[in-house]
Amino acid sequence: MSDTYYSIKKDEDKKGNEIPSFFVSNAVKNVIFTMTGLEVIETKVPDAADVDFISHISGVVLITGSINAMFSLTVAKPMAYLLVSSMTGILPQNLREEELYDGITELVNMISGETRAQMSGRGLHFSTLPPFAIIGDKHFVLHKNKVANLVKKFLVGDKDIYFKVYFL
Amino acid sequence: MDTKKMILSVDDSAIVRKIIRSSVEVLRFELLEASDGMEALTVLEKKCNDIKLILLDWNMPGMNGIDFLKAIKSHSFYKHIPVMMITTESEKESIIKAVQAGVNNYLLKPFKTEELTKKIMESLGKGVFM
Repeated sequence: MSDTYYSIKKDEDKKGNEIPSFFVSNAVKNVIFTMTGLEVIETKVPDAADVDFISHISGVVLITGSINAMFSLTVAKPMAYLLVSSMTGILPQNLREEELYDGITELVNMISGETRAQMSGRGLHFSTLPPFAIIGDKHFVLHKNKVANLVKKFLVGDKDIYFKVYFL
Repeated sequence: MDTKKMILSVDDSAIVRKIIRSSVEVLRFELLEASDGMEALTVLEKKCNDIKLILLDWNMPGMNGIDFLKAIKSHSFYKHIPVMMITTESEKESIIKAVQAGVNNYLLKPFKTEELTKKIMESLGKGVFM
């Protein structure tokens, strides 16, 4: 897969429907920095087998329209505390678990919004379904039997964030 | 008659409402909260004389933001209350739709707290702080 572009694999004859990979990267970095003030660095994605190992919370959102896709933002609990505490100014020890889930869900919602905004400049239009969270240690998300079409890894300090795109 | 200074936040995310609360409290307003349009209408019924501004998300389960906006802008008791949309809906068509429905200000998510505070002040107008 190219570093710069990846194709919509759902329908091979839909030529021209491409989302530049950097749109996704920029959206993740910009949304998290704007909402939390934390600097996000993109890093190399490890082997697929390791990707779901750290997961505890995934915020998930579905977009429909020119492209049907699912975005997920996956973090371990310490990262969720860091992100949501930074968003709200509430100390980690005062955050409730459901506030972590809500915060991560809201972040993926904003990332999808930012990606959609960039794509609308290419004549591709979407609507979004209400986002939701998937919770549990070492969970993973599949569409039918497929893993994600695009996996990106980011670091805030030494903590991981995974962002995945699945084409439906 | 003692008039309170209140702002109504309508957003299905409790975390977003908490972020909004911090900005609103800096401005010495009281924040009322609702998680969708129907709940917001109930709050409005009770507090419409005290609410100086409505901060409104677009995508919410139940009654969404644009339907709520249309409902209040066609209601003689509520239509004077300014409304600021706070949403991820950034497409030009969406903004036009909101403007045509009567929105007074528009803030895209993600936003910085300072930007939110500035937009709230802008939407309230100078008179409210006197």
